[in-house]
Amino acid sequence: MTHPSQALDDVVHQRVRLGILAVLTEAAYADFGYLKEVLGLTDGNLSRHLTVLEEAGHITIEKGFAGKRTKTTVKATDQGRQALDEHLTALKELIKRVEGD
Amino acid sequence: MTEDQMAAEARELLANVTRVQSHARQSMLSASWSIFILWGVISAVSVVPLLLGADDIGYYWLVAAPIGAIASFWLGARHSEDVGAGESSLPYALTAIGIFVFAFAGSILIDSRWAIVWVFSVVAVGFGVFAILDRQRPVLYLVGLLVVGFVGLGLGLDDSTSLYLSCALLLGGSYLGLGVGLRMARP
Repeated sequence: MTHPSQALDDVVHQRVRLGILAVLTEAAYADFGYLKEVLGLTDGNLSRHLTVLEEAGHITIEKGFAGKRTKTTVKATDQGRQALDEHLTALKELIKRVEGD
Repeated sequence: MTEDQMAAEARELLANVTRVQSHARQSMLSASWSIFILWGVISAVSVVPLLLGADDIGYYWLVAAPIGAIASFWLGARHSEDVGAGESSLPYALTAIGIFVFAFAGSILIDSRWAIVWVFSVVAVGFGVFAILDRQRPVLYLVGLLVVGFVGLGLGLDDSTSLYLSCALLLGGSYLGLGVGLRMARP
């Protein structure tokens, strides 16, 4: 039997990136500003984590305009939703394993 | 890292996921109170034409229901825009269409006072589907009580006008009360 920690995805196994995916599985889409507020991040910090998730194919990022202001909309892909589900399952398995000892 | 440390980290990450998901859900839902108030008013106001002597209330609903649906989608869209996050509108649109189709078909096919019970029950159940989409499960209890109430009124009242007035005021009053309650409970 493999250890549950082996099922942890390095891209997802990070507090901020897990938080981003968690918000995006609850909402169909979220603006950059909304994610920044909910997760309590700076622009640069959020951008960096979004880039990691986008490169892994877990999210898509669309840039557009709302009036004269730029608007960045982020959505989770099916792969991202699945990655979050699998990661949460692995975390629960890990806790169960330790509590069972 | 020991297994205990890994488990502690896992617990912290899961708690954070629960917190941000709950925050996201709450911020997206906080417009639903206005939609319940809107439909409470639409339902309660529908008794006015009847009290003024109108024979057929169907015309009121043919106008009020589409306006109410458009206004509801506008309220939801405006809220999503303000918040900066939202849900897919397709399941909501399909539910709204389902309510129209089932309510309209019932009102034509059922040739008795039970058509009134059917239409109000369909509207209540439709809002139950919205509650499931919004993960507002407590609203389902109200939906169940409303359907039981409509059937009870159907069994107790032979006169169609009295039955309609009672059902419309029951639905309108319940939705107004729920809307005010949700507004007051808003974080």
